[in-house]
Amino acid sequence: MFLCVFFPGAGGGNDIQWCFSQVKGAVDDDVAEADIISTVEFNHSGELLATGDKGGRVVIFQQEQENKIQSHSRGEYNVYSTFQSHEPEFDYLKSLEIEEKINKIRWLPQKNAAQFLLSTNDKTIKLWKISERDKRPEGYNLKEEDGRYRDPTTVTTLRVPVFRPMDLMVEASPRRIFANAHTYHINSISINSDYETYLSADDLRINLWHLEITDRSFNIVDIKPANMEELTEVITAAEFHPNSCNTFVYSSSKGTIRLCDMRASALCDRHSKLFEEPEDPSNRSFFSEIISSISDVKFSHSGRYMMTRDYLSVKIWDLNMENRPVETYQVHEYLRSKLCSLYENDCIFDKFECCWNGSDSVVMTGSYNNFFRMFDRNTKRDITLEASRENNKPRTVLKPRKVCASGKRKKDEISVDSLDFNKKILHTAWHPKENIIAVATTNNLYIFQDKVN
Amino acid sequence: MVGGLKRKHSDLEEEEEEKWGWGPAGLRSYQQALLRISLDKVQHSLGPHAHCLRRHVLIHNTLQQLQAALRLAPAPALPPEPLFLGEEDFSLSATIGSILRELETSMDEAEHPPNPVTPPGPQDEALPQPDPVFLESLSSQYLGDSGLDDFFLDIDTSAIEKEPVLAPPEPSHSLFCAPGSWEWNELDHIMEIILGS
Repeated sequence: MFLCVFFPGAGGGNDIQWCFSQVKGAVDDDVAEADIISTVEFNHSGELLATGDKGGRVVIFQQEQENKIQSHSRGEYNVYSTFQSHEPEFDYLKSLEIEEKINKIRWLPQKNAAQFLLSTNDKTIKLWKISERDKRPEGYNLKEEDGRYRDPTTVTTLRVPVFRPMDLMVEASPRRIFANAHTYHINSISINSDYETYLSADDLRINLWHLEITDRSFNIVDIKPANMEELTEVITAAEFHPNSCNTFVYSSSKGTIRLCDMRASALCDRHSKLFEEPEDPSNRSFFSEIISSISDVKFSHSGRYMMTRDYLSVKIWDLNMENRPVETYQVHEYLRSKLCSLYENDCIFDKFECCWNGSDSVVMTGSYNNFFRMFDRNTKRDITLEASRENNKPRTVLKPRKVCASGKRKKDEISVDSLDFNKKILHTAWHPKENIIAVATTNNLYIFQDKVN
Repeated sequence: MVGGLKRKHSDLEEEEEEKWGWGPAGLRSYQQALLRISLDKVQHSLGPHAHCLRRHVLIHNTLQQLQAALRLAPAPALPPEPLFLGEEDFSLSATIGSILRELETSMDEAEHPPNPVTPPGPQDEALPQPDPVFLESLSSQYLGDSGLDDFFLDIDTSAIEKEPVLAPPEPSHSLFCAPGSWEWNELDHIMEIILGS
């Protein structure tokens, strides 16, 4: 439950007042490469928040249980578990390094006391079990407390070992390793609504796995041409439908999304639906294809819509309408005139993610200069906020930002030429139930909440 | 800055049309600059970007478009230089093809013999080398062009005053570089790179 407060004078903001809550990560400007955050994901209840980084580590934060009496804010997120998920490897056959960078984390729904998540680098997916231990058995008959075995002849009485409390220990252990199924680089993993299978997608192929079986997977999409010289399109993202266990989508570098039904055939090379918006001829340039490349695709929680992110915009598609999106939101249209520079410095290849709020009414995505944007689908209002340590007084409402595209810059506006293109927000996540968001800058994780009271 | 340049350029356009002209010749130089940037990317991307297939494919597709556009564009009204682009013997498509083949052998299953990915070196058939004639011609055609030198000398940036940027005129060709447009500024920037190298 959240308070909806009208934000006076926002002139384009949405109804939620966002406040800084926490920031995690190193303060200094000198960013260690291994600390670069590469993925952020809340679990199904929102109690846990996982991040993966370029050094192959996973850090899980847990939300404190709220103090019901003084609810100035929702519980804070504190470190719950940290573990090394992937290590760097070297493929000797191809003389290529396999990066340990975590590309994606996906949580499984909780079935028992333990938590499970899938984490993947470019080549290998791992299923991790995260479990708590807060008691241990004491009072063995044949073992001392330190583990040494006792001489049985010295045992004169018998006792029943009992569990005694101990300091909470959170253990992460790899339960399954799904390897050797991807020639190209894994960009997505998605757990099926049957909670038994999941898909993994690389640039050219998508595989279907069973969570219990690691020595084989089924190839369900293969777009590799017989002759690699004919390759003009790659897979950029894939996701299972949240409710239909036979349906998934995958997006491409040419701006298309294909919806596939696994009941139709074993190899889903023929799509059931093809979503593509015709190009606007007045905007045509040499960069048209590059900026149409879809960097993320996400189904709404309801399953009725899906959202795609390309370089300049976010589009909402109704699954029943293939020929154009139902809504389009411009993230940073002022960059359209800078595409040549952005091509030269490679920023045009940045892959921004996007996410839905719990009720599918607001969508969020990142931009440059540590800005991130939210679009309210109902009010059609949008807001630009900044993830910066300068705003880090808790419960201070964040000030909306504005970029001045051209002409006279107003006070408090930032001109396009002053934007820092090294400060990019590629990864954002929204709590499944509440207005709590996690926004990753290069090496810091910001948590914002809506203002309570 | 933009306003000042716009005024100056439109003056220049009338003067310089015979010598330079931001018509087909300007567009051509823009395309060739993009081509060079793209080829640079391809050459240098056998390092840390070696594994990014998406980036390779997007650059490759852009190169194809540029090649097609340069083939279709009318010959510029400049002293005749060997038209190195679009000629049958300049194997741009072969270069691109060999780039992708190189990727295939380095990334694909081991049906091919191991083919280590190394930075561009000598005489390896699998490593793409843009035609040296092309690169040399690109620099010689424009660095030596007196019209271009005069053009840059004539830009008087001290007379610039802030003006709201007008919307660029509707281009007859969607890729036409109109004076005062964003492409103008980008072209400026690209020419600086070329002259600077």
